Order: sequence, then structure tokens, then C-alpha cells
Amino acid sequence: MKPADLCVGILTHENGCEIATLDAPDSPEPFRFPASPMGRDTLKVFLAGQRRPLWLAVSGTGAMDLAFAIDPAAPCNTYIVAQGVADDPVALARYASRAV
Amino acid sequence: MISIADILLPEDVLLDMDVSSAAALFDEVSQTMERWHGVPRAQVAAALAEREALGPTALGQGVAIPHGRIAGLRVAHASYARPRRPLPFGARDGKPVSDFIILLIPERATDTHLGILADVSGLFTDPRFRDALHVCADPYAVLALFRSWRTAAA
Repeated sequence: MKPADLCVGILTHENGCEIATLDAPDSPEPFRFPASPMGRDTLKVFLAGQRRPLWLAVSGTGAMDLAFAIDPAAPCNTYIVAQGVADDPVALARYASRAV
Repeated sequence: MISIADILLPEDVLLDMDVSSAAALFDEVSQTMERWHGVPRAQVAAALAEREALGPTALGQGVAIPHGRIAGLRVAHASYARPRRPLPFGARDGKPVSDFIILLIPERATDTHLGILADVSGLFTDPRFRDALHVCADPYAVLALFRSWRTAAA
């Protein structure tokens, strides 16, 4: 993974949305956002403001919608992972990093 | 996990601001950041403007989260700013913004950024929190609400 790239895993389910990045690769931490329009828009604002190349791995309908809704400032590659294959945003972020 | 209450100080809470534009609000917040945290005013204003140029940071329901990455910053800083009259800010729901959470984030502090954003979106998603916040008349009441709401809601 190049230091300039940001690898992100996003997982959505009925209770909300979880996101993790590999910016601190030794101790990636998942963050939970509410399953509300405000939770979704907060993540959109976060992702759209990144100036580094984005590598996203998403799982869940909401996560896919989010990935397609953003208009990031930097190049963005998105991988769609079937639900059930990964149930952890950190694992998704690691999956995204394998492509970098 | 870091929360907005961890970094918000009484000096960071600006209520009843007499401003008529987001630029004027950013200018006042920039002055506050320089005075209390030593972050150069011009650097704050430039970082916030640079981020807004990529697209609005309004979340709807009268809430916005302007933020900027600041080179050389050691810790994150936040401000809660409430203009006397809500300001247009490009929200998708068309509502003007009454609650601004302004964040200054160190350049490589993505988890800090996400932690604060997760906390803020969790709080402001709850209309009871927004209503309670609007009743707060001074910075200490605002801080007390931010600190107590999670416990009370749990």
C-alpha cells in the first residue's frame, strides 16, 4: 500500500454503518455511524473531502449506495464485496488494500 | 474513542454570532482558533475554504460540519458556532444552518477525524439533542449537554 493512498472498508446493516481505514495500519479501529440520512451524509462529506486516492471495499446495500453517491476530489476505486463474506469493516479495508 | 466533548472548550463555543454569511462566521472562528489554540487565522480560514470548495459540508436539519486539515497541527480542535440567524450553506434539504461544528484536524489523523464525525452524527441525528442544544444559553451549558447526552441516552 502506498502511504498516500487511503484504504477504506464500509459495511452497512439495518442498525447502521461501520467504517474503518488503514491509515493507522497497526491498530485499525471501526467507527459506527447511525442509520439515518445524517449518518449517511456525514460519511459522504468525509469521503468526498479526501484528497488522497481512495480504495473502497463496501458491503451492504447502503454502503454501495454511499460509494456510488460520492464525488471524491481524488481518484476512487470501489470493490463490492458480497454480504456474508466480510462482516467487519477492518477486514474490508484490508481487502481494498490488497488491490493497491 | 474520541468524542467532540473531549476537545471542545468553553472558549470554542460561539453563540448568537452576529454574522450574515458563512465567510464571516469562518473568519470569527479563525480568530478564536488563533487566540486560544495558536493556529494561524489565515491557515484556518484557508483550510476551511479549501474543503468547502470541494462541496458543501452541510448535513441537513440545520447542521454543518466544516473541517480542514492543518499541516503541523498536533491535536484536533473543534468549535461549536451558532449564528443568531441560520445561514444558507448548500444543504440538500434546503434548510439554512443553525449549528456549525467546525473541526481542525492534523494532516494524518484519519481515525481522530472519523471518531469525532461518528460522535457528532450520532448526537445530531437525535432531534431531542438538537432541541436541547438550542435552549442552551451559554458555553458551559453547551459543554454540559455534549458531555452528558450520551450517558443520558444510553
